[in-house]
Amino acid sequence: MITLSSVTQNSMQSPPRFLFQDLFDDTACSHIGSKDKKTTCERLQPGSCVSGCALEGAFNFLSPIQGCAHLIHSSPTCYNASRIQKKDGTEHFCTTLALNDLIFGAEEKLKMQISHIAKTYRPRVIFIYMTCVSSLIGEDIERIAKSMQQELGIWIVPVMSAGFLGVANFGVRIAGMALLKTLIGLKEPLIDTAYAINLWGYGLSETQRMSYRILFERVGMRILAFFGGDEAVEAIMGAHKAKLNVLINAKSLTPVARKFEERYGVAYVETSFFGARATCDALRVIAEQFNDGAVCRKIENMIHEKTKALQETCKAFHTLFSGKKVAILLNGLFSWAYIPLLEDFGMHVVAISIENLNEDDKEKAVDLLLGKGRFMYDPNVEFEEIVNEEPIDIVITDTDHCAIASRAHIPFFNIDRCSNPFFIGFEGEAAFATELSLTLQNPVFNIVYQNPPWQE
Amino acid sequence: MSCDLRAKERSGIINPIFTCQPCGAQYVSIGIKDCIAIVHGGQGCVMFVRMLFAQHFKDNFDIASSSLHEDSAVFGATGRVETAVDVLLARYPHVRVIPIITTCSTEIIGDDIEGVINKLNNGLLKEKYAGREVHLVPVHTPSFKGSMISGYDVAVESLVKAFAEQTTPNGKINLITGWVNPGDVTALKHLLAMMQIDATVLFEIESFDSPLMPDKSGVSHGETTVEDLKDTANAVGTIALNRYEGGKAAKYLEKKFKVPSVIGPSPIGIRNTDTFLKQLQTMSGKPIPEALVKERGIAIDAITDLAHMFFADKRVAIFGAPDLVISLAEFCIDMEMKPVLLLLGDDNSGYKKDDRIKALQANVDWDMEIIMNADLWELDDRIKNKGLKLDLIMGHSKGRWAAIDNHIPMVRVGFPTYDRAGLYRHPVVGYAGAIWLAEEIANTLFTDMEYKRNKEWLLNVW
Repeated sequence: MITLSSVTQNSMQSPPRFLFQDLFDDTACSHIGSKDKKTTCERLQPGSCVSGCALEGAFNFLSPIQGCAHLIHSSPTCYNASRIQKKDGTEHFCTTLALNDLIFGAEEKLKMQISHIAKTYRPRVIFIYMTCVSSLIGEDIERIAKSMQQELGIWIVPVMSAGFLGVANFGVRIAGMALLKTLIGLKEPLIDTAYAINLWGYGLSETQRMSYRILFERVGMRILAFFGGDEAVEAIMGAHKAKLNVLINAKSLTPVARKFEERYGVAYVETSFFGARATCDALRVIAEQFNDGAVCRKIENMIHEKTKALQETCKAFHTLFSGKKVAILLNGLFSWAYIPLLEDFGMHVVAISIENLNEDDKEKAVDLLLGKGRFMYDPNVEFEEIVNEEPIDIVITDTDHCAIASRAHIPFFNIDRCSNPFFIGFEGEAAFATELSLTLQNPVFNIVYQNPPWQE
Repeated sequence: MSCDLRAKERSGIINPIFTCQPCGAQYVSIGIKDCIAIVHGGQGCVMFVRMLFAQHFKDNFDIASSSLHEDSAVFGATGRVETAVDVLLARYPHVRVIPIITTCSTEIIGDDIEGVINKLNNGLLKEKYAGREVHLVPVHTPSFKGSMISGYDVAVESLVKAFAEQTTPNGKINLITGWVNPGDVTALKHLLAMMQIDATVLFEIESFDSPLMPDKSGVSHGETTVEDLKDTANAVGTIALNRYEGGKAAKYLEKKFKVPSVIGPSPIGIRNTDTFLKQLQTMSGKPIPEALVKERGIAIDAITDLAHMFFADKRVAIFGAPDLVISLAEFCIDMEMKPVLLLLGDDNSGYKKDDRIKALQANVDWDMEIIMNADLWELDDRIKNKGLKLDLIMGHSKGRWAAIDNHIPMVRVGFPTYDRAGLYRHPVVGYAGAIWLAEEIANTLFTDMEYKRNKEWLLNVW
């Protein structure tokens, strides 16, 4: 554990300045850098009922890290609302800009807050988040962070996540870039790094993170740092010693992984662990990267063993699910990842929401569905039309969208609120099938979605 | 033996009680029929608030965003409003009202919303949507001022200002409910119906609690129409139940159209409901029927069964919207409970002049603190570090950790209450509300007695 006193002044070199260009300096997405579309993927049209901003993405990506304080430089909402997704009641901080701060600048306020947090709570790192307001009034939080870091002897990381920069996806990228520029590489890891990997994910619950850990431990790999997970700050500082970066459904983090590769020579792979098929593929890709007999053997053994077991458990589900029509109504960044999982059970994906996906992921969704199915940009409007044309048996949804499904009188399965949402790996497939069958067979849907008996 | 009203000393906020102004404006906008608001700002400004509504009502509401991007921040974002209006009108053929709600970022850029509306009215709406009735209403709610409460106030005023026009007197009463739940509106309408009073309820949000109908109809959206809003200028009088949520609109109607107004108190508890009914009686000239006396009797019976035995001397902390907090404090005092800490989430110069707070200051005979501009850390800190002893916390769900961590029973009231099922369905106003509140408080205390094995045997013989 690092205390304030053990941090020497020498190690507190200030990070390079944040350059907006870095975020786009990348060839990972085929749409970036192409002439006709300027520098970015397609952006949302104004006037649609859409989802979150860059701050949300950045905050949710960084907030699980243990022992840190988060200071959002804004008026209260930006922070108030973004923390509703947090599991516990940990305190986070907000500078609450008022009218006078906008006119005269809020530097003093920010500095006061930082020293208050440093002295009262003694966190190992303070993340300072830029928001729409603070960036528009031109707060130089990078300079403030630098000077306060020297003054207080504690790491202070500025995260330039002004909300208008883009969607949540983009915020994740900004946060990843901030980590890469500041914390990563500050310390040497204490554990053996021969089979060490870094995991990069976003929006994962605790149970999900746990099942990733178990999965990788079983094939003899060691997770050095879990980005987007409840990792200690030290682990993140030593992440550069890993042998491989594994991105889990995290397209937005590919530029970060590429920069990582440039700087520390750590290769990266993009994977998905939703369902057995995807898990097998992902594990094999990772084995290929290691190119190590022992690892390959372990992985193949596990795949063999697990697939066999899974076939037994899922036999019953196949008959129940096969031929059922399903729609995916998810706000999240990887709605496409559910497609192979559902198709493995013989279900047909009729419609999928792609409002938040970037172009490559959209293409992935199209590929996975072989061009069939409907793609929704604004599910509020489009879903009703689709339902009218085609009967749907079940909807996979989240809290934002479950009302749309219930309004259309279709059984829905709310991923966010389900009691045990760890749909990862082989066990995950069985768990998902169990939950889905419970929804599909739930007697309540027989009552609520039928006309009263006197109207038939 | 004092009642201290002061602002929080610490700068910055840890776990805020309130959301910012656009949230209040968006709550108003979903109360209007055929209305989808455009929030002119980053996408988060809509997403977070919609998420709150979805959590509170377990139902989702349409609010659009102009999705501001960094180029707009540099070159101005009025163009995005134009596109947004176009897209919205094309996608939703039923939309008649589009409030354009500004946020901190667009207020700082200095986008001329009135100018855009003018341009749209003369351009796009005339050319592309000729013959269609569309109202664009500017609502200025920068989040660096006030809170969601003042945002609600500002939005009601803007909408009334935009629509109200004097024609022929209609003999109705305007009832501005303030930030309440569907259950409250039902309770208020019940009182109005009992007195046979014809009223325009702003805003008619009963239908937020929407049924699942066999024909798949039943979208959760408000029922207040444009005509209702226009008609507000022709009423006999206005009653704004909450001073800080809708009071401005009532004053505007009084000043501009000479519609007499009564502001507050919120009809929470027996005394305040009595006042409300008397206000209705004076304004409409209709008698209070015997049936309401009976309802009042039932409520009083329910309270007296509980009051001195279980409520006496219980120390309570209340946080949330100012009108709700003050009225709840009065209700608690009526039941011999001791509100020791009131947390008001924003800083309004009006609080010092508020009669109800003055009355509290004059009458309270124990140590009581009223903190303005407070956050939830004020509550947590007092319990954890400063030895504040509490028997009950009342407030919305964001304060649940203060209750859970410190093992203090908590009654959920206000907005948002997402961690208990169906609370938006129950009223806190009127006699029905008094019964619900008293019984909810009692049941919460009973559960706590059993859980902590603290005189739980008392209930054997009660």
